[in-house]
Amino acid sequence: MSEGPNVLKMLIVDDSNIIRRRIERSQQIDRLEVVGAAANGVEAVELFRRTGADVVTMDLTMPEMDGIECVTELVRIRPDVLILVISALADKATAVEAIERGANGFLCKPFTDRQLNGALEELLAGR
Amino acid sequence: MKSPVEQDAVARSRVRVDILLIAAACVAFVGAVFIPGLRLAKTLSNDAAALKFVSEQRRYSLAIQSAVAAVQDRLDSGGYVQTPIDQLRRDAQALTEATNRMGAAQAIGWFDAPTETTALADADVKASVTALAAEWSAYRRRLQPLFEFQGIPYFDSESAGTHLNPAGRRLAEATTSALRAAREAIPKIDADFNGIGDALQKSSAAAASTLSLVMLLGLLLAATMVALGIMLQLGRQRQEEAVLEAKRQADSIFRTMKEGLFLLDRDLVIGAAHSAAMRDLFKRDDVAGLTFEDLLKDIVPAKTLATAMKFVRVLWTERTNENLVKSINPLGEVEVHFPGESGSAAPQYLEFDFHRVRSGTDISHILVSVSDASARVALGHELKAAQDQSQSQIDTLLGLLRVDPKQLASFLGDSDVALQMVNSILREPAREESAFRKKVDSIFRQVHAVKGEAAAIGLTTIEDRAHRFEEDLRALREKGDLSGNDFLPLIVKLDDLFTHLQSIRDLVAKLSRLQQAAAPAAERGAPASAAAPTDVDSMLKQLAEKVGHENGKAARVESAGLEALPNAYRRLVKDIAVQAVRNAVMHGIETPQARRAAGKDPCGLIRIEVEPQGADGFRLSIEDDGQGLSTQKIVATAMQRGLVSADEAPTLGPKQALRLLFRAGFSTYDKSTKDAGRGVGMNLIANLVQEAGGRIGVSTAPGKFTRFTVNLPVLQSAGKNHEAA
Amino acid sequence: MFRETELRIFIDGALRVFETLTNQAATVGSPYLVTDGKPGTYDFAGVIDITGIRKGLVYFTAPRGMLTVLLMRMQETDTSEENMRDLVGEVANTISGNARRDLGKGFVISVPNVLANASEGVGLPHARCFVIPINWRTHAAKLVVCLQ
Repeated sequence: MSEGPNVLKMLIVDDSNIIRRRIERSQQIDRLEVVGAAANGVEAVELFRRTGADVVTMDLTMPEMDGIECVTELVRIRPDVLILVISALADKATAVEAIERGANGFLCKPFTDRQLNGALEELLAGR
Repeated sequence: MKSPVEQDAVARSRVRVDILLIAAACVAFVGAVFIPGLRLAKTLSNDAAALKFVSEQRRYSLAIQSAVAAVQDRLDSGGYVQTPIDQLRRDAQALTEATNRMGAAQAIGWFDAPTETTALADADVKASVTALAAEWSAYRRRLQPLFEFQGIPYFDSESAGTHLNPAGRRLAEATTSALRAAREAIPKIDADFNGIGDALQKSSAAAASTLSLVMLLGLLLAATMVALGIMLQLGRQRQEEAVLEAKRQADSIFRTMKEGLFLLDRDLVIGAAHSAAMRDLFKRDDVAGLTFEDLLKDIVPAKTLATAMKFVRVLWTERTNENLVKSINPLGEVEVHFPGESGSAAPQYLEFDFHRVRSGTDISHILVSVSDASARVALGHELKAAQDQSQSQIDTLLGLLRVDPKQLASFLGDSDVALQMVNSILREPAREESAFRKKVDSIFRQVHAVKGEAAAIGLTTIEDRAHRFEEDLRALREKGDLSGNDFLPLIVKLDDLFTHLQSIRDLVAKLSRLQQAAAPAAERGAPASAAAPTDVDSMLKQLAEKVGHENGKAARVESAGLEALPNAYRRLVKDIAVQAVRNAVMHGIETPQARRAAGKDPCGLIRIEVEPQGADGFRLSIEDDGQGLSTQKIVATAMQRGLVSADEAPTLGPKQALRLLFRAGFSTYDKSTKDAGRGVGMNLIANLVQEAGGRIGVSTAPGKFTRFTVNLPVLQSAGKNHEAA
Repeated sequence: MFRETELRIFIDGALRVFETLTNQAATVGSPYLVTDGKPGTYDFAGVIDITGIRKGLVYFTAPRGMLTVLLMRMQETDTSEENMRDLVGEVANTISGNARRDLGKGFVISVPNVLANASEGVGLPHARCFVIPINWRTHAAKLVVCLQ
């Protein structure tokens, strides 16, 4: 991944290690550079402050501050952050709530590599 | 300051502040620049007009003086005086009028037309004007004799020539006196005129300097307004950017969401941005630009549509509480029908949810989300149906009261074993279709036995459940490509049967406690365990009676030797006997009329006998005195079912033909009445016997009897499938 | 039957997980009931507690062998015990989370609770539960649904 002026820093938040690793491994967007991964909301906020990430993938069901709260907090810290919620919670109410709190996209688990990259591209296109 | 919508709101409120500032600047401009400027300009123009007027009047004082001097000259030279006197009168008159006008000058209102003397009403000028009027008035009195002179001031004589006459002398004196007075009065009058001019000039200068100050202020205010205008424009741009940003974000959400999402504007028109799922939900591509009414009108009833439209309009009403609005949403779960779809399709339900989108405090749009609620609604309906079903517990209870307690206890034990058996069959791992298919047959046997026994003792709630279970199994038999998915209805029904049996057990336990509490202590403790085999006897009698009744026949059961059966065979024999008795009544025994015609007892007889065979185990025979079996019919049916070929058929002997009865597939399971076709029972019996390691045979005499003979081995190797859980 | 519809929701979720993660379809084995309160587990089990409109639990249990191959199919090279626990929990979470599409927000799911080598099995809230065997390649896993 090349360093450059257009590179966006990405933070991965998921309580599953293999999902974190998979997102990092599978994302093929040139402009994105993964700068950190967090296993819960508290860690995520801390890493977000430290890395100044531009893009965040966010799980919802997590111990210690769930994803919805975490979205709220990240958007409060930095209103122009781009957040892609990646969750197994497939009900509409959850999606709407995440977006109300300021998330910019929603990808439902389980997902393929193609779906992941598609969702990330759309997220960046909306910027 | 988070969501795009909120950012938008912030930008909008900033713009609002800017507009207020500009309005304030406008008021300031009018108050501090425009009105004073107008007033000052008026003052300037009034002053100028007054100055012009005053300077015009100045000449009269000189003119008057020279007119008086001219009168004196004419008197000295004996000239004609009337002309300068007339001139003097006119000038004096003019000056009098001027001073009068100047003295009468008044400040004027905003909308009165200014006159040339308006400026003289000013206090600074007024003093000089009053002084002028006084000076002139004094001087004018000295001129009075001159004004009044009439006639000729001379008398002519040849000797003395022309001389002043007395009137002429008086005129000359008055003229001299006027000239003398003029030496004092004229400079004063001039000074007064100067004073007036100076005051006017001063007022002009002051107004001019104030005006330039006002102009400067105006310039400043104008600059402020321009600055504010620029800020407003920038704010608008920011707001537009925020809106664009919100739109971009919304677009990305719209693309990724699986739900239908769209925005409604105030005219209830659907916005261009909507989620891709809309196309699938509404089965049309042209959603954008449609009105909400057009979207719904073909898919919901007119009444629903009317309510929905009213509701959506209410959403725009600011004072209606959002939660209240949501609680009355008529589209929370609405059944839809798409034109052109067949009516037989499963009902479809859509769930609409409405959110107000605000810009600042105003509602700008309604965000509508739509999802397919069909599965959820179906689930709800089924849940309700399940609850209704549990209402039928009372029926179960009443049913139980009609059942013999001993039979019931034996049934409950047996059916629990049978259901456990079904579960163990299911539990065997399976991947291949053949494995699944084999399970269908084994499960069928168990369920069929439960059904038969439940029917025999009159437990219709169990019989119905087992019957529905059988129907599922029948359907699976017909279905190709079996997989575990197809078995889901089975475990659900199995669970239901377990639950139902348990609730019967609970009811029985409660009833027996009631009974014990009510019964005298002496009647308790009577031995009941030894009666087991006779349960079978009474149950079979009841079954024969019941099936006979349902089929318009009469039949009775006689049994012998049942008590000799070991407990471990009891269940097997019962299962076999239940099938055999049912088949005998339905197919073997004739109607009472037919029997009478054949010289038989109208009531058919079924004999069940168990004979111990020592080392060879037991023999069970079940015989009816009905019409017997027709081998020709059996062969014809077997050919129909494809069990034998047309070539093979004629070669079959009577014994081989009878054995076809026990072949799987002899019956097609197509009769789904509770009392199934004969073939089912035969195949089942054969399988049960085979599993127990026994043999089965059939013999018949047309018009006389049908007898099934079952040989069961001694116990150690038998029955394990039946008694093992 | 509403139970059948409900079971199908979970089964569809499980099949979707396999299909999506590995691009290889799984099939449903012969389903049965647990009648003695002991459903049995493979090496790992991811248990999701259900609260809200329904109460009980849903769990997914799989043997080491299946999880190893699953991880490999997901391009995950680290097949440590830790990652197996992780995967079994994630699968359970995905199945129950997806169920909210049809069961709604009122179907509240917990974070996965993972049991390893739980020979004693999972403590069930009541004696009878549905067991759905899931076959994938040569491996077998189980989905256990125990609601109310």
